[in-house]
Amino acid sequence: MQGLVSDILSFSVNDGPGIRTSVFLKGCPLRCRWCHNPEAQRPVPQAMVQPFRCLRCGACSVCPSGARGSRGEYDASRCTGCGLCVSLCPVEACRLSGTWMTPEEALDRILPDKPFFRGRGGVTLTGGEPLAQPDFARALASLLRGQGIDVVLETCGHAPWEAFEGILPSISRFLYDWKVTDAEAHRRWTGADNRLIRENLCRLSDSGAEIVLRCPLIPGVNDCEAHFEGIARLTRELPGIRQVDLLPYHALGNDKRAQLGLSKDSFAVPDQETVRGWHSALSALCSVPVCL
Amino acid sequence: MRGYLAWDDAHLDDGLSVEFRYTQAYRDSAGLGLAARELACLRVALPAAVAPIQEGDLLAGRRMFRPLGVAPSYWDDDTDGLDSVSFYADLGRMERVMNRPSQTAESRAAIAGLIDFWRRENVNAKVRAKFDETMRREMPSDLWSRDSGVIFGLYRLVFSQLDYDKLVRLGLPGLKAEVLERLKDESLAEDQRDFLTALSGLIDLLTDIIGLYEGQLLSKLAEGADPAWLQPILDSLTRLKAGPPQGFRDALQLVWLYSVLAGGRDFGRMDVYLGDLYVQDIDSGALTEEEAVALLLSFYRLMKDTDSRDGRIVMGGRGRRNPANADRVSLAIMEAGLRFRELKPEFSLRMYKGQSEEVIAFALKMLGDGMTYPLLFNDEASVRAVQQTMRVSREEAEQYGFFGCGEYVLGHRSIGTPNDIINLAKALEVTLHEGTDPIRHCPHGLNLGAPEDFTTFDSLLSAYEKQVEYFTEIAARHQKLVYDTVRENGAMLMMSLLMDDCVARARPLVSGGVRYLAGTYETYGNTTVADSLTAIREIVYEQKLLSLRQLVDILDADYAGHEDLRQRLLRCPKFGNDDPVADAMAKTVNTHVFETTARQAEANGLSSYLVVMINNGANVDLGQNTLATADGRHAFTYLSNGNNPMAGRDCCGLPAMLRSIASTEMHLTAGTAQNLKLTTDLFTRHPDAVRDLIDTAFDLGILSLNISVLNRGEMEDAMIHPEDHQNLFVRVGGFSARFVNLDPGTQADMLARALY
Repeated sequence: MQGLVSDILSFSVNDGPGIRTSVFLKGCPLRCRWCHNPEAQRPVPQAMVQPFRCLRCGACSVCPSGARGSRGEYDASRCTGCGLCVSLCPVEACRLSGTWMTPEEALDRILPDKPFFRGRGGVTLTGGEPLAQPDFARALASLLRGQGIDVVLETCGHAPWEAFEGILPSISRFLYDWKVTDAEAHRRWTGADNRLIRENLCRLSDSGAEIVLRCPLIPGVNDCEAHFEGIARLTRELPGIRQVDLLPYHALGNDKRAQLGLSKDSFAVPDQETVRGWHSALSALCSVPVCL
Repeated sequence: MRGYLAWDDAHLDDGLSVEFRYTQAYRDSAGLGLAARELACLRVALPAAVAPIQEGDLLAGRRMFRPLGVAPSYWDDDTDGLDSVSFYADLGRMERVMNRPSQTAESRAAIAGLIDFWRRENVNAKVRAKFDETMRREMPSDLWSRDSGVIFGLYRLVFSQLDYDKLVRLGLPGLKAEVLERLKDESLAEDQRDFLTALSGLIDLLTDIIGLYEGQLLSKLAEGADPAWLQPILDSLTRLKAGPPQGFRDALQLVWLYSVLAGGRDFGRMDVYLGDLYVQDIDSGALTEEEAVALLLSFYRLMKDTDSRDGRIVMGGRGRRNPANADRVSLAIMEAGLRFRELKPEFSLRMYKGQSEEVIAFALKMLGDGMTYPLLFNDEASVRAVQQTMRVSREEAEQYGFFGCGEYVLGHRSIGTPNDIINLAKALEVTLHEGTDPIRHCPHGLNLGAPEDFTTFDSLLSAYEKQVEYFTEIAARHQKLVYDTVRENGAMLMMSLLMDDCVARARPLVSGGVRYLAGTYETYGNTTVADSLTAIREIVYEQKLLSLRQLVDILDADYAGHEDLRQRLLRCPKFGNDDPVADAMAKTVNTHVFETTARQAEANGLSSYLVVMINNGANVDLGQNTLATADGRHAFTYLSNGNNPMAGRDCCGLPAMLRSIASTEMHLTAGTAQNLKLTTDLFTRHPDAVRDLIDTAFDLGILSLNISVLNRGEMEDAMIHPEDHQNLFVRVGGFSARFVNLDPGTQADMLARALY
């Protein structure tokens, strides 16, 4: 069995307790317009081109699918992820996002970091959507648990319940995205409505899982009272939710969008005052701690 | 940067009367023993150094530094930041006095004579006069921060930690009694007797100097100064003339006076020697915690105003006789540091399992608050390393202390002054240029062949190693030469009195007195060389993209027209990413220079001679005289620093970086510095992760961590608006610095280092 991994990052301190290693699985059923990991959306390897490194030498123009021009131009829609341009680039201006690996290979990459976990940290499976590769995610989580390593799962929630059920015993905490409360608006902004997401969230809470609700706040999309009330209601109704994390929009994903040949998103980065306002409004409404 | 801030030309009278008397004393005592001559000079120099107390001082002991004197090291602008050892002469300052318009032709001629005398007679000059032909060729300049060269000599006896614990326990009268007792030994040789007699005279002189400070205070009181301010200081001085310190204030006062008169800058295990009296005074109600902090603040202020360099305080660690008391005073020492918020003192914490969590928490609070102190030391690993490299018992190793950048010394038992530095990148450069310095265009080092002759990578590596061995042998001889010359010219009385086993052996410091006469060797550009060799092997010898000659030509032209090649070289494996190829090369380069250096100890009569890979700004200065290197580094830019990855080349995360640096055989050195730049956000929001990080780094065997907490935006803004960032500290050198005061090259180096 192999899984498609877009990256493995050490020393992550914002995705669960302690020092963690985050494993980004590639492929996601949603297409959130503000996504800051756009390279992890498609379930196939993709070339990413860094224009500032590119020498325009044309070494990559031999691309069999015609995705690369004679001066380093990149037509991402033609890329098949074969990786030829990556191997030919003399300066590594081009890299491949997406490596197929077995759960055992992923474990080998992670194990050197184990001394840093110290019983507090561990591994966070994220993405993309890790449960879009349920067998791989479950196998890796189980291997990690077997090594005594804590595993946190970050999920958008849009996956069959069976995928949750399979991995549940290996997960100490779920970082569960709640993006837009209104189902129709959810569909408009992410490509799918949130019924399955809500249903899974309830079942997860019923199962006794520990949940941190992660709420990206995007100006003009979900920075509204109705959504805030929706978040608060969930915290009141679902005892599994122990904490709400606010994730104010940032524009760092745009650089990666450019490397993938995608156009930039068009959201405004909120200022500190706005963010503080969101935080205090939600803190007043929610029955659990709200963290920034 | 000025060495001694209190020093001022204005303090010097036109006639340089003190300097003439000092010189007369030096000449008159030429027929006496060296110790007696030194004492005669100190009798002139030290009373003349006494400077007036200033408003707000809670301790006496301001001093000025005159252009002639005896010190473990003296440095100033006029010496281009170079140290002078033993009998020093600041000729530039004397020349300025000579050139004052108020001088007559006669007085000017007299001063010229004085300058001429000391130009020959200062110990630095005497060391250089003894250079053999090889040393003259390979060490033509001492100006390491300005001139091009592979090795440079330094002239100093720095970083020894005197036995302040003994000073505090015995006081001056107790020390004198000990010396007098020793003098009763009838088997002592004449020179031993002379030495002990001089020590006894020294203690009398110090007592007289306390009297001078007393006199100053009495005059001020007579002029109407506030007795509530001065009387406690006066009482303390009076007590110190008669016996050992009775309380915390007395102890601080005595340690300050001794260190400032000795010209020492290192305060050793302050928590140990202040701990008992602190606890006694606080628990008895003789002193409040607030009063203790105020006294410490005054101590720090004196330190800052007297000398802009060093000033180290060690806390924590195994081998303390009073850990509970020491920990209590540590909190006060750090509290005062947090309030002082200056570059001094340089606090260091020896961390060990089972250490007071309160002390560790306070240390992390200081770091999180943007101070770059304390330096954190991995106590267990450090004790083991010291045991192994200095070949001492565990009990002695537990008394290790360190210089500011992380180099080990045995507290009041060893001298380990680093008196030579090597630019390893330059050693590779001259190897690739047939034994010439391509900047000075003159022969330098061994000619081991042209690039065409290095037909295999191993032949190139072997040539580089031979080059390093050649220069290291010269450097070690220079270290010995400094010690020999100091021995032939004086006794270093003030250090000898408080260093084991000078009194017991009745021998001056470097004349068989100190238990371990060791030396250290500062290496720079270690990672630059390792990464360059990795790249050369891959590009030239494995992929054969170009010949070594072509590469050397491109490096000489600083990659002009070859940016593609530079980019290719930058992509070769780099140290700091847990990459087995890059890390193995770093290990080869480092272990080679560690072992080469250690082998020089015996031949030069040193108890050990060890590499220190330290964290200061010399990597920037030396880089300014180093051509482009094959790791992709441009000409004349900074080299790698300490045992760190080249700035900006570690890109696989902190655990990978730490694993790489842990692969260095640090236990073969006398200290390696590891920089870690952490974000404010990490420190404030994830304190548990910070603690886990430190603990893991130490579990990996990393000896010390030099942590700066900052954010990149702040540094970038500081380059544009320095006025807004006066409090942004970063750690550079054996001292910390305000970021805005660093030169642009060092600022760029700091900015490029990865921020986690």
